Amino acid sequence: MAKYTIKRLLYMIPVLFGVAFLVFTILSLTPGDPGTIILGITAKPEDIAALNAEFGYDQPFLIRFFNYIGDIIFHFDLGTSYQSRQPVIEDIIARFPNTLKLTIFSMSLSAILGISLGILSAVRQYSKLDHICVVTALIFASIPGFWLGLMLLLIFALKLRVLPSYGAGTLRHFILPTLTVSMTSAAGLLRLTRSAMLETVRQEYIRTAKAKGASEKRVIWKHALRNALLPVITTLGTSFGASLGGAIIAETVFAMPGMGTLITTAIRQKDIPVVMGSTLFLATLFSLIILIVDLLYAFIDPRIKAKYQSGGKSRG
Amino acid sequence: MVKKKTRKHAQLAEIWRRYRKNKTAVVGLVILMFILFIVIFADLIVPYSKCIEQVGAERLQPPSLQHFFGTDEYGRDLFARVIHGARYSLFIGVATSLMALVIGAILGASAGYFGGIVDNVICRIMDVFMCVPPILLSLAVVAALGSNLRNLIIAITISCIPGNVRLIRSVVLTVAEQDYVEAAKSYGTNNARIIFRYVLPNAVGPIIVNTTMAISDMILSAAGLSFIGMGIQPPSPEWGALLSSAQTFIFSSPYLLIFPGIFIVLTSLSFNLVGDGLTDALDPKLKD
Amino acid sequence: MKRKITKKLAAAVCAAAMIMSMSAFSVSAAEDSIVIAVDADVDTLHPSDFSTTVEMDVLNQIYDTLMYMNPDGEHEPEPRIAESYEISEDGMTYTFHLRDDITFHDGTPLTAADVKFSLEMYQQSPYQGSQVTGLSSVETPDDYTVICHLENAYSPFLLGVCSVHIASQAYYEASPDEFASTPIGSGPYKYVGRNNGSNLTLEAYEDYYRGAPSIKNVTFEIIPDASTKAIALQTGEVNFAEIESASMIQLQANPDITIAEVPTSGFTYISMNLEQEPFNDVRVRQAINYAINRENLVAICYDGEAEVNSNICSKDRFGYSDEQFQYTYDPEKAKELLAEAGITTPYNLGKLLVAEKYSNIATVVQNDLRAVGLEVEIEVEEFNAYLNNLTSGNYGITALNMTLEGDTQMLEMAFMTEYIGTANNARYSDEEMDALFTSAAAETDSEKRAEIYNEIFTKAQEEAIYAVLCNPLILYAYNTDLSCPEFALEGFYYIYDFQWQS
Repeated sequence: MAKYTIKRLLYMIPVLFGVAFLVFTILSLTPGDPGTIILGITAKPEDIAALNAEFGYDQPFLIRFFNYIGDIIFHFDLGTSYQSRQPVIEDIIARFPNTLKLTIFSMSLSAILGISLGILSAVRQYSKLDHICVVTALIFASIPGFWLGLMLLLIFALKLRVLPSYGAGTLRHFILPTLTVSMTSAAGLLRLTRSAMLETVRQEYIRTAKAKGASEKRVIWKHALRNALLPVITTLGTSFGASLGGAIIAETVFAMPGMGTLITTAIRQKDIPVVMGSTLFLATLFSLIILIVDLLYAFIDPRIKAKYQSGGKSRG
Repeated sequence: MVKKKTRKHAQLAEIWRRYRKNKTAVVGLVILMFILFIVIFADLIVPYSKCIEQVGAERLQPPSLQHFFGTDEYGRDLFARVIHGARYSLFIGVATSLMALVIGAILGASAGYFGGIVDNVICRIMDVFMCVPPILLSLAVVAALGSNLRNLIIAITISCIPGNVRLIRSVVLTVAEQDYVEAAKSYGTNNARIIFRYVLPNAVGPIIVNTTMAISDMILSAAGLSFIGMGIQPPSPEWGALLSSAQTFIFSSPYLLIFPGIFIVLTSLSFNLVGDGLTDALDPKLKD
Repeated sequence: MKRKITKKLAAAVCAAAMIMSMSAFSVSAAEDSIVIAVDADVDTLHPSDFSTTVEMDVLNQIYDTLMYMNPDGEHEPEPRIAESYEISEDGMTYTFHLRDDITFHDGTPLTAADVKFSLEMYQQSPYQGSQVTGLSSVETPDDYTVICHLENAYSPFLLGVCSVHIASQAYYEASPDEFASTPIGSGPYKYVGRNNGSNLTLEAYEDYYRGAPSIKNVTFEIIPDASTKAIALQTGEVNFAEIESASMIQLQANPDITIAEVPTSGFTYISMNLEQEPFNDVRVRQAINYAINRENLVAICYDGEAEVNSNICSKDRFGYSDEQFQYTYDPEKAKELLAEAGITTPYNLGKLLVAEKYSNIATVVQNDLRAVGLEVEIEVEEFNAYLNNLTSGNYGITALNMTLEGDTQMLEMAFMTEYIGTANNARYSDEEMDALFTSAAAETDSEKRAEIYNEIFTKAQEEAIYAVLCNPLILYAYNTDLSCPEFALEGFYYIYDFQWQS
């Protein structure tokens, strides 16, 4: 197991290098240069050129890329923002907690809602409740996130005035953004849990357990749920990326200083170090979460554990 | 030959029979037909010129008999824009899903079928793409290429290829182990033929379901990108763009936000309902 | 059995929902505090190396200037750090006499050395260097006298030098890193701190030489989204903000909110590349000027909150005169001019290039041009790409908004040959025009200067170098209980002048 974990950690290095190269390439394709963006079109061309030189932007693409990677590897330096001239890591430290909170809140809420209602739906397949759950889930999955956010803002912040409309100061600030992000993902989880439950219920061993006279409750909790949760956990892990996407939209609507607003602004300003640093940071985090999920998976399902130890392929 | 055809027929009839049983799925199909009707006959319902005709004196009019959905800030008829917008939004949804499907199928099938180095290379590249949140990837691509219809489609397609590759790869992995594929291999049938003749058709169920639902996601993604300000060229009436510009009038003219919103939700919902119905209808395990 | 599970789960879900919605939320503004919403975070608080409006708005509270001068260039400067000033006969020497009772926020006195240091810092700055254009050297005969020597007589110098933030030399030398992040000025407010991406706080500087400010605590909240900002204003979470015109209708209806409309010199215009056919023909440019219904454009793109004006010089600016020609909406005349120019309509002008934020202007322009038989296809580009194409002349026709604040002389950037590749988007090059601007800069007599500008703008209008459309207004929305003095051209605000009415 330890060997496997180390192998997976080492494997993250080429992936992250790939991410860095991908993002750097795309950003370098964007037209314009940081000097013009910062100083504006009324500036003198020589001032713009001097500023670009200061950023090292006058160097060719590959040299800039390897300089950047070199700084990360040898100096643990994520770079300095073109715009604020502050280390990128400071921006991340200031904003990441908000995004993390929002992501954790909304993933928890969507897990609670999605998994519990999904189980309920599956247990009572074809009942009225099942229909309501499934249809409601489908409706929520069909609503654009920002539209939902704006509607919530209109109702709770403006009409009822029970919640603040912007910012990230207190927990109360997180309620509306959390709802915005979690409704869509709760809908997805509900559907997934429901179908996974139905799938396992149909499996032979459950039938056997039932035939052996185990109570329905026991069958659901002991046998079915445990197996049904496997795909749910994987999805929770990989949906971190999607939650983050939802968070970006919610951060925009609710003016919340997070990673999403940081990166979107930086992309527009061609602030390459900020985009690179934050994307790499998120990608590292994402890879670690996937790894943890995989390990957790092995922990729950002994069959997979056996596969790891025999050195088999990790992901099917 | 004849026999085969009837068998296929019977199969379809069986699927339809199972699909029909699901009431909500039928409702979804009806909504979808309605949207398709709008897309096909948009020009007969209201001429395109109505979408771009600006009447300064009639700006921001609430819904009335002249303007069923009211008018926007340029004095353009919102009803006409929503009707013709269906073409753009649906086109974006379908085009991106199909493109992502084709690319995903080629990559996923090769990865699953060939295994070894091919699988490794493809999977590693997909891992890289999956590490970047899809919306950021789309955003960066649009920033690099510029925002117009073509680039919007490219950006959204790129961001959903990795998911497709993984799905198709795993389906192919299970199918490829089946006896008939082994048999075909041993006869020396060429690889592409095996993949397209035997492997993919058997993976068609999950792929259809996934693609149907993907269309819904793609329509929402496009709206999201438009919202952040990376949409398509004005004065094209794409739904996301309608919502994005309506956003500033959220208080004074909420109908600008409500009508296109309802159409997005309905369209997206219809694909989801149909996809959901198909999941059950196409799943042979559910035959009982 | 089944039922029990259902109930438990339902209870759990309800509990979760209740936690989420517990306790009502209310806002009350403290009497001595103000919350101001701004669009973006500050990247720096460096007194001279800043580039955004938000940074300027914050710095204006922290740093004081030598004088305060109304940007219209027609009022006498008010004393601030300098009690009085003199300009030599030849217009080459400016002498400022400083007050001797001014201290920085750290308690150290402000002297002529600090002013010299600040002026020289501006001179070196690629960001705000244009404020001290013409400055050659600074001399400090004693602690409270500053003499500025100019290279040539340059009359716009006074307005420019009046916007220089005076910073502490000692602080810069002691902690050059904190100089830009933790500013120490001599203005009415002290910097307290900021939460990256979220807010920034200031507090009153009680020893301010004009008397302690009435409002003690200032918070700048960052709210980029216009609708969110409008909601926050209505709930009272925010007391003062610049708003978008689209929020007007809603906010105007609210009796708790007052709206101020402030003129600016910024201009929305169509720029044509004079190096390309058919824009090199003056009749085509005039036709385009006649083809646009500016009143309609203002109604649509600015909800009426802009002043229609076809002249690049705004009405509140020094040098404007009604004698300068105004283009009005006349599609028939436009068609005639096009026919004269030998253009058979419908004629395809190619791409109308715009950045995303100007796409609404492009939509209206496209419509008006079509009415006189000129077809354009709108191409929206990402802002950076757009700037690149604009400055390098890689476009035919475009619509945008530009701000050339400060002295009227700043408009030289739109016309003089040396600015091709930067702000001279039309790529206009004319020796006579260059000479006129050069002579206006050197002229110290204000009446004569006005005459030269009259000549310049009359010429610009005759040749229809640009098709200027309007000057947008800045809209400030604030609590009706807050009393704000009238805002001057460009809408700079000083919280020192604000007051809560009890």
